[in-house]
Amino acid sequence: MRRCSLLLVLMLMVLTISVNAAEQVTIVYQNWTANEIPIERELIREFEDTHPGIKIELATTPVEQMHDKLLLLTRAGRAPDVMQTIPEWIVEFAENGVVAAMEDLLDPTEYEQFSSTFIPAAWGMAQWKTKTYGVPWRFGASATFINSKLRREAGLPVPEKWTWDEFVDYAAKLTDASKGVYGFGVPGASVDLGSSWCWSAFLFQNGGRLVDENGEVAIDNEKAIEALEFYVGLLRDKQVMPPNTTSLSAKDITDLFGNNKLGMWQNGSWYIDTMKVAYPNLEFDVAPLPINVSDGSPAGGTLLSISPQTKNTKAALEFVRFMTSEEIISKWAKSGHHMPPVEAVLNQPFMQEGPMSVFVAQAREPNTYVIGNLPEFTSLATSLQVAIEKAFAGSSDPGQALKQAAAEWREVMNKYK
Amino acid sequence: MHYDVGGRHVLPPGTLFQNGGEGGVLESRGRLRDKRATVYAAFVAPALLYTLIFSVYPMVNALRFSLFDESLMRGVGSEFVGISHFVAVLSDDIARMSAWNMVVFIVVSTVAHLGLGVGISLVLMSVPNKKFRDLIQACILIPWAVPPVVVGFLWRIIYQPQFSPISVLASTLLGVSEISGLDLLSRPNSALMGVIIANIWSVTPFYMLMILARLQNIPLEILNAAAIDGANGFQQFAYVTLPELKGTLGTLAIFDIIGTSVYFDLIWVMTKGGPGLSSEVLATYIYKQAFQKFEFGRASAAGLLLFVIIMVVSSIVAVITRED
Repeated sequence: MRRCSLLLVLMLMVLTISVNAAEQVTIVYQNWTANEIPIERELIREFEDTHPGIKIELATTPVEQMHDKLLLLTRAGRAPDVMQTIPEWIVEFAENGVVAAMEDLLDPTEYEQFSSTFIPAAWGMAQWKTKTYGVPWRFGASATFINSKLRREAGLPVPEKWTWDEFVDYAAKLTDASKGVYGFGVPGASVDLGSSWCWSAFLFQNGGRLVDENGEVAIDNEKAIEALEFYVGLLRDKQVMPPNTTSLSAKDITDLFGNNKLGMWQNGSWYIDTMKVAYPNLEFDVAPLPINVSDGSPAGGTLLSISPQTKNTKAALEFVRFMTSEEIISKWAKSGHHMPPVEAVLNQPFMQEGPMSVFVAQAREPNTYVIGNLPEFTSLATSLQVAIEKAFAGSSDPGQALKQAAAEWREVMNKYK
Repeated sequence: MHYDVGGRHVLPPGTLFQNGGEGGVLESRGRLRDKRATVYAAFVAPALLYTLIFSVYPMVNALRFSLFDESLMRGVGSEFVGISHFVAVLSDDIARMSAWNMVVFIVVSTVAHLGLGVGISLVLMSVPNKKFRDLIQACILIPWAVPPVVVGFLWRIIYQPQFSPISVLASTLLGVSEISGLDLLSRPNSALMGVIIANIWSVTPFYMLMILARLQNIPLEILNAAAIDGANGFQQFAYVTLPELKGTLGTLAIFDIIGTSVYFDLIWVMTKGGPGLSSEVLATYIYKQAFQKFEFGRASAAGLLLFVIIMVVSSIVAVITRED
């Protein structure tokens, strides 16, 4: 009798364990957000608490290695279920089965409902050939950072709206070359590929595009050449940029700005925290980008994508929905100066005040375009960077340099037609 | 049976020509040779295995990649394209420019490494106090101990007029706010030279050490004899020291050519081949083909062409500098 009871208890235990094991699903989430890992870990714990059957296994890789890692893991059949990606990788990943299309994972009604919660420009980050290969996780446009100390010394106000001419004039008033202080800077070094991001703002403001509505390369048309002539002129003619611009990385620009050697530079809201950590006593203002023919700003961000290799599609979708929900995005946006891609969060009071309000307004401008969701974008950005460097250095005139880059762009783009 | 002849043990006549049986000399020698061969093979095997896995296999694979339309995007084992990648590399303006930059890099660096190496060694040899000489030698070796990536970051800072320690010194001692002309990396006509200078600073100590070791082994009698014959300092160097160093310099030149031609980390950290590809060398070109454009076929073809160039140049140097 006792032996029967013991056997019964053992069988019940085995049954319980196997039922639990069957119900427990583990999702591998591959990310790189080094600075934000503490908040992200909290959000993951919150997800696990509210979704008891799903466990998240976090795998973190430095951003520089992430692209190759995801490609190789996919080739090896060991892709993570959910991965952090960027628009610059979406085309390659979509073409090579690294990321799944949301249209294939959701039915049309669900898809419509889900996509409508995001800003259209943000949802566009992961689009390639009419399908969407990721969900916006972070999004942002550029604005102008202005060194408050140099601005006050020059007796200048914070501009609310300005033209290219007013921008140049402002930069000139901030410049004092005898003290090594310059009005405007861009990360012009090859080490960063930052030039293409910064120049594209001026391209859009001049009514140009990187690729036109028909998918044709547009970086060598008249508007693009004018935009590059203006951009290069800031260094070569107006001399409001540091002479060694082509060797300055984004970190160098931040250091110059933090050491009151640079009056202005342009980038996304993600740099606010970077600068505050490096230079806690630095005071700076945020102004919109200048306008020429139109407004214009580059935009980018990060995405959460799902692998087509996942065996836990439902759980992966649950996790992605949770991480991009209004409540969670709001928590994450408040933890730092991050731009949320969710429409409802952008409308919240904390996004309408302080420097974030400028970034929000910029993100909503009609000529804010995502750059990066083009095939082999690193290669394209390198070609453009080379053209801009040659123009800065005077070894090639802007038109010639852009035509050379455009030829390389067409060679790449034609492979994907 | 052994015969004692004059106190020596010798073998009976005919012993050497005995075949088989115990005590046959040929068979003993053969067995000893076999045993030794086995021992030698056992010692060489790990190194051979390492070479096969990490040198021969990758090279064979590279050759295979270079003959196919290989792309990380399109997967392995796609269309056979023959020598079209090689033709594409040879007709690519950027590849040719990178090769030329590489040649400039090698020539200037090698001449500087060996020339400065000889010069510094001779100066060190003339320091009478051994402890002081050892101290200076240790200080000179410090740059060589710094990893190339760190060297790259250090020299990027040195070349930034706004942050450079040279600017700080000039400002403190001379009251100059910024030194113009320091920003070598921002100009296409000086970026490559900026990288070369960093390379010379970092690598020369190693060559100095090798040359110093050789100099210290030149017999003093030869130098004394030359002095007695009336040779002055320069003549002693030109007719005694330099010929003695010829073989060492030749070997070091080959090492330097091979090492400099595949130099990547310093250039990547300092300029990534910019501005405007002015400091692009074959190593960075190959990297970009493989890991930015994911064209492994073309990258492998460029790599094999680089290998051929290195072998040809090294062979020429070896012939020129061989000791008679």
